Amino acid sequence: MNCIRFTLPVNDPSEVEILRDHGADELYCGYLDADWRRKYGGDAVISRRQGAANLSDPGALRETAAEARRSGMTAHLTLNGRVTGGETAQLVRIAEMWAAFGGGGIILQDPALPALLAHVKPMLITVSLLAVTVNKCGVAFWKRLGADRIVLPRFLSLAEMKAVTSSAPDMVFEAMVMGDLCPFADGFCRSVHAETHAPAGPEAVPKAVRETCNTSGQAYHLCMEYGLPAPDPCAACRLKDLGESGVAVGKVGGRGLPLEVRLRWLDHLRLARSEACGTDLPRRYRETFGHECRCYYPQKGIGG
Amino acid sequence: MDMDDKKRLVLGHRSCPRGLREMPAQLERIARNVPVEALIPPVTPFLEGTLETVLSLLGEFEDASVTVNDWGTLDRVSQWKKGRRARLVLGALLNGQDSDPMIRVFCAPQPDKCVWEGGNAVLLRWAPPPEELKRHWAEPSAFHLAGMLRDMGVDAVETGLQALELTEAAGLDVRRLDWGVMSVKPCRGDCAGCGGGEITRAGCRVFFDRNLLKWEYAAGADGKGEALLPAAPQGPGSMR
Repeated sequence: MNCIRFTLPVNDPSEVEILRDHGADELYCGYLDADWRRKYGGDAVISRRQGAANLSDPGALRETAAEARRSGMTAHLTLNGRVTGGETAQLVRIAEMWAAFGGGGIILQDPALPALLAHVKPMLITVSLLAVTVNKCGVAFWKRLGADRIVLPRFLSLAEMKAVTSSAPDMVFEAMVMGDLCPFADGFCRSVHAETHAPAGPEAVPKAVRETCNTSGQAYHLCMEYGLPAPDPCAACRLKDLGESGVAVGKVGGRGLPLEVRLRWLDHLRLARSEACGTDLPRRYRETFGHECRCYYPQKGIGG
Repeated sequence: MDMDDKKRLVLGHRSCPRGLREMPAQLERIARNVPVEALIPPVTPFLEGTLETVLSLLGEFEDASVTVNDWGTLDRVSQWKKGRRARLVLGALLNGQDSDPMIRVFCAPQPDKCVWEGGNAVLLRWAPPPEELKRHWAEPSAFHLAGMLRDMGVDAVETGLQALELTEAAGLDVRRLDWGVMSVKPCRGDCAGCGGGEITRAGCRVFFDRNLLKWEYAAGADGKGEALLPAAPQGPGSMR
């Protein structure tokens, strides 16, 4: 049986036990509280997800960390937004709060943060795929800065992953295995990722007024303008290959998506990991999700 | 302060692997007293050997500048540069910026809109972006890394166009580009099918340069949102 572990997004403390019972091995979450929202809005500044994808107050953060510890799972907090000088102090305070609550790790992309967070060790430091670590020198760079884990970029082929991971056998490597395939190299994408809201019809009576610099309700993802998003991809058939490429943790996307979506994804991945389905996974995918599957790591890799 | 814009022979491409693959043969044909600028894309594993060849050749040049676009290659070239008369530049892909021209739209008044939020109808009313957010948008990430970058021997950082006026550069030399980074399409090794079409975004032109998606201010008014936008900031001359 494949030994790859699965890490899943959690949107609320009440989901932790359910995810554990469904077989999640680790969790990751986001955080966006009122103070941050007041200063920076609700778009992709603290991390690359908005709105419901984030826990919204210290109480929820504390509960999530506590539930994760009770369930025997490591929970990581995502602080992988683009960092400038003005927000580092607040990011450090959030990380310290997470550590005090018993959180297991931080996911980041900015190279200044590991040193600023050295005092919250032994919390794990994971380098986000937004840092675009594509070679062994990058692995060495982040290891020197204090990172424990690296999430490999989505666009690396399995052969490229193996070349990267073999340079550091003591490092833990993650790769995406379901959902959230950005058609661009998202670590280099400068497109606005704004909060999305469905328009209310003329008959709707607003219960509140909210001030914002983007009243359109649109996300303005660049890939949408190019008509690029496609059905969520899946790496269920590739779990064994990923393991042989040095990937220890399969990351499931979908921060902000309903729990039932994430649970169905997890169920399918666990089936694949158990190898009970043989080569029947595409059929099982079609029956479960109602459309053809799309491979996260097609055979032909990136030029190199 | 802008980097001294010495005339250099520019080789390579910031995101296209082919630019790196072709570089050794190009370098072989160039006289060693010609100042050169090598643009290095993110170096995936099977390009690492080519990078080493390029660095070996660049070591023979009297005046070489290397622009890198991933952290690992920055680290490698930082080591290579020690004891050499060479220039190391943090490339535009590595210097994170909120460069989307849509930000200019957010800075200008917009009409109210009623939307669904958490099951309730909420009226979104425009207010200027908070000062902290504007400061975040205006500051490239490299600026707060100035100390680390100087320790690594970085001589300058590239900044592309961005929606808001650039903040003070914290003592770093800045090479200003006359276009902005929008995104990068992962290379699939299919040069014939590389790139894509051109679009307009917030009145600006968005276009592909191989697999690198760039934006620049549209020439003349095109009537699409120009009335909403503040005037484009005028900067000093810059490198393409």
